[in-house]
Amino acid sequence: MELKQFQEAYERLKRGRRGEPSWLRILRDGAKDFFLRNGFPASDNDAWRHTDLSAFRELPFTPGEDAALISPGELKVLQDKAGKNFILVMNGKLMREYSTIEPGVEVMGLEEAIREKPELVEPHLGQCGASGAEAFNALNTVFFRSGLFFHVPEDMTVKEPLQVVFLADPAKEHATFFLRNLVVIGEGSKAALAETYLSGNGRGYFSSAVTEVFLGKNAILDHVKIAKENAKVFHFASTRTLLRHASSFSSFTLLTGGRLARNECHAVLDEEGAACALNGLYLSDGDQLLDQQTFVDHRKPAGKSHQFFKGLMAGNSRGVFNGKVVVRQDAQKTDAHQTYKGLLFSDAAQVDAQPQLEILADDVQCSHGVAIGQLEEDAIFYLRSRGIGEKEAGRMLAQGFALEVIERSGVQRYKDELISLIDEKLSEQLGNRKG
Amino acid sequence: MTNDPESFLKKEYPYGFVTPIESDAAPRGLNEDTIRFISKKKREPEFMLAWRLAAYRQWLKMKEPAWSSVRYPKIDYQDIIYYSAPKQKKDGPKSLDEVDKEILRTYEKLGIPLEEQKRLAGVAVDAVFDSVSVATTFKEKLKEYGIIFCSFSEAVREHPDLIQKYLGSVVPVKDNFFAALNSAVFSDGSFCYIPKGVRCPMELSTYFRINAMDTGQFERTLIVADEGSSVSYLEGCTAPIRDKNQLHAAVVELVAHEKASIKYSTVQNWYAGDKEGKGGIYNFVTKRGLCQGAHSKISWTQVETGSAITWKYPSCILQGDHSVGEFYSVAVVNNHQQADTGTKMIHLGKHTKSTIISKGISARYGKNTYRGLVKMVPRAEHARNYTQCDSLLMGDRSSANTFPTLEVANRTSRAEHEATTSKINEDQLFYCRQRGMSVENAISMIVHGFCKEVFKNLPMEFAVEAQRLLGVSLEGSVG
Amino acid sequence: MLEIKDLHVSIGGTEILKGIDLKVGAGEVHAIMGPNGSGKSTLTRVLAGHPSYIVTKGSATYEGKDLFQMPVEERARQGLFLAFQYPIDIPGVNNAYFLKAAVNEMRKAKGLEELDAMEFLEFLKEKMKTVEMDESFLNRPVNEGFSGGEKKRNEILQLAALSPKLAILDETDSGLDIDALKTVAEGVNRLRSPKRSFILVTHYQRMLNYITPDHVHVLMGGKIVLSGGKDLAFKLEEKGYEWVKQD
Repeated sequence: MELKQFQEAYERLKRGRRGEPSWLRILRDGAKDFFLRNGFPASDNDAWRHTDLSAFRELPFTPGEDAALISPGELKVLQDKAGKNFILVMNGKLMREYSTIEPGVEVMGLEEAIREKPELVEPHLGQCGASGAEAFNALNTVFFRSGLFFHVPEDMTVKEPLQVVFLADPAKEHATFFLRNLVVIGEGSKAALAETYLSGNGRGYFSSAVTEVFLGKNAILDHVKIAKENAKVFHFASTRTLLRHASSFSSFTLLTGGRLARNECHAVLDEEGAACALNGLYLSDGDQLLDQQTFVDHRKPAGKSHQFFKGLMAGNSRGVFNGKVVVRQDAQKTDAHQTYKGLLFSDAAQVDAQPQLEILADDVQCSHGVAIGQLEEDAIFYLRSRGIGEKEAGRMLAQGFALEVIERSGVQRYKDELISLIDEKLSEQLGNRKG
Repeated sequence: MTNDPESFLKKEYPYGFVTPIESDAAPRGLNEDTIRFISKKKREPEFMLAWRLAAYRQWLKMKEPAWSSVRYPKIDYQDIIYYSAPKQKKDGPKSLDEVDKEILRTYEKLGIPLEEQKRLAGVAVDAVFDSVSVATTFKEKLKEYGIIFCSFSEAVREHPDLIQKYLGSVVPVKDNFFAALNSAVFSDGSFCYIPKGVRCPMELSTYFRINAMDTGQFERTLIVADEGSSVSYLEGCTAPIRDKNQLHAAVVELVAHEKASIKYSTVQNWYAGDKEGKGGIYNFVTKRGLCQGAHSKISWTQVETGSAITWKYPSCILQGDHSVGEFYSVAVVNNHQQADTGTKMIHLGKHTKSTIISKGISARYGKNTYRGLVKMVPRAEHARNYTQCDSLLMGDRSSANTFPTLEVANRTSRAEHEATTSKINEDQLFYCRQRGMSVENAISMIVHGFCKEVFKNLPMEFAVEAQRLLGVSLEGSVG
Repeated sequence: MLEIKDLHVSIGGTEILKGIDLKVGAGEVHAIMGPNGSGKSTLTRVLAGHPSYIVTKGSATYEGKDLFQMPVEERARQGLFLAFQYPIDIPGVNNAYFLKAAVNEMRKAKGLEELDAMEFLEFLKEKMKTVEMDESFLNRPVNEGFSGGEKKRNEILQLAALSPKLAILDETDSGLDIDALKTVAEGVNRLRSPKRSFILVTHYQRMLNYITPDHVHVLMGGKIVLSGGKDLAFKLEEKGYEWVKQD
């Protein structure tokens, strides 16, 4: 996509947006101006130096409308699998007839919320502010049509996790999906949210997903994100969280799909005593590039952040990790730790890691660590000496490597599902493994 | 010792004096004539002038780097004097007896007496004063081993073949803005060649001194260790106290052939500016070593306590199989000092190994950044890296950044990076004080412990100097 | 030597010590016993001057001076020594170097000449025999990589080297096997003198089999609830702390 196409698409869509409130128009115009000024990130941009966008830029993605192809029968299967508090968003549209939602929890399409609940949407949408403007975030702000609005009022515990499946089922190649989700958790409330991104067919598309999360005082949100779209998809996503006093956000991200999938987890600890735990795992093979970015902004005292990410790279794939922790001058007594471990499965795979600490307060405990390598020869030998075949030994150790993140992340609820997803991907990875 | 921290700050930078000497300088500013002037002053062969001019034309096309964390007002490159040398009667001193007494006195005051009989046995010194080398000691003794140790200017005249072969081979002219500038205007520095199989019998060292006002120092150092040889080289630097910032843009190139090893140690104590951040040296340096041969080794050790701004990344290109690169660094920033330093370890050969140990200390308004790259290409099978970066913060306006990058492109390699940032552990402090030590002494002891892994890599006499400097540069930082 | 009156101490807003009275005379050995969480360690750390604890009420007089007005190192130089329950490691700082600095601080405070490296080594070798410590300890960083027993012996070595007037031992017996405990106790016994007082803080009576106290105090809930002679320790061992509560 080039700037010219961008502008044309913007003008075309603008006509259909006459009914939008002026605050939203201002937000979109600001993002448009930002994008026109800066364009796509260049390779000298530090946050993009390991993520080559040329393959993406060459394809004729054009923002526009798209229709659903998937059969109702197939949707039913999805629904049955999910159980309570299941929500289906297809091609950006909330499918109420296939969704079941616990009473008291407010869930609606974002476009509906903009109309019906402006008092909740306006103060939050686009206001997360972590790390300022960024190209793909701006694109999303310009083009999003829909997504999910999820609101939990004060002092409420949502018992069952909200499970959202974002299904993209484009009718032709090079479609685009701009999803914008807004999550507002009221003071003292507790909820869990799982987002899964799936492809309905084998066509390639550009999937842009921005989820903004606002946590009130003492609120708690457990977040899981799974992206397993097909191998032609370009997935650019970010989860941006703003944490108020003593609130807590924990997340787990699993990336297995996409030609290029870049996931950004941003957390702004905006008031005292907030805590976040960002965890994740990605498994790549073939020509995939999977890219996990994190940014934790400690703005106020006594915040805690723990990050734990792992990557397993096979085939010709490439893994990227770029994690930044900023501790501002006000944020004394901060405790911030980050770990990334990368495992290379094949000679042609590679990994690039950039952990970053920027510390402006002195009374802090901060650390980061990176370890990159392959499976331990000794461990493989040990398993083989007990009669386990080499390939199986490798699979067992790789699974153990992956499971450590799940164990540490406290996502027990999803453990079985995650393990089966990991096993599925691992067998693909190891099937391609040479030598 | 008094308990008033401010009283320490009144203590002056002990090397801040000016030597009253007449100097012979190039006109202020930079153009092709300046370069011709420098080249002529040095009686350089034609190839050298051509090389300089090409570098200058390259430099004109380049931009000053903006990616680092250091901030400073724009440098006016036309307001710098690119060449300044003490005035000489003849062609230059043939022996120490002919060196200006004021200069000899300067080095004595700096603790570097040049008269050989007074020297600690076992250290040969090349003394660089502003833009020229004023003396090189122990030259004759080294010659017996076939070792060449002389000023860069002399090497250009006496050993043009070696210079043509190696100059710019590790740090190409267009490598970066400051390297290009240095290639155009470099004035002096040291050259050292260790022939095949020779273990250099003494430590070689260069002592850099900036004396003249508004002068930039652009030294060039080249060390070549031929097959199976080894050398340990030390570098020290000081400058007078001046209100205006002065630019120091050096280039150091090291080449280690098969089974050769080079150990390069720096104790950098350029004038750091005053308490308010006025004055001080801008230390923008490119240092790189090429481990060209198999089983070669290059080890950088640096103790950076001076300079208003430090921007340097002593690096290793590990080309030979089984070659080894090391980087040990202590960087201290106090008051308004800024340091953006680190290393690059580029693993090209098989079974190459690198170790990075970096200790950053930021006090008061000091800004310290570690920036590093560990790169292992597909060919670099079984490469290994271990990196440890620790930062210590003293004072709530100080800051520490840690920006490593790891790029691994083969599955038999292993890279490990660990970093921590914290202030001095309260319990350690309590423990020392419970044993009767004052807060100042307790901190000094803990900080020395923190830097121990780096100090132990310095040659003995430098280690003592480094510890002392660390103490001096942190004085007054404890409130 | 030391007189504590109605001492109240809190940390992070929680009151831990709720009115302690204790008088330790010259040459006396006091044992302070109590269950976990009773405030034993807090008492030792407050006496040494740890900055995390806040004295909210009461006083402590050490050799006629107000202890709480003295900075940590001043208390140490005046002869107050704390053997830590968990001595912290100080990476990169050589044990001998550390000890020499501490010993010389004490000597300076007493108006004595500082020892040079050689003199110090002679001096230390003597002391090391008393705690059966190997010389290799001296070249290792302070407490780093030391086993539990080694750390405790290192504390007693420092006690011997610094020859304080008042030594406070915080759970020095914990984590020691019987042989190590004997070595440590013998070290302490050798250091007993009419001019030197000890406060032994312990959970168990075990150490008191080897070091006989003059007085035993029971600390519970931030107060000394019972005091007596050495027999009290045996009674506690036999009947447990619950028995004190019932009385």
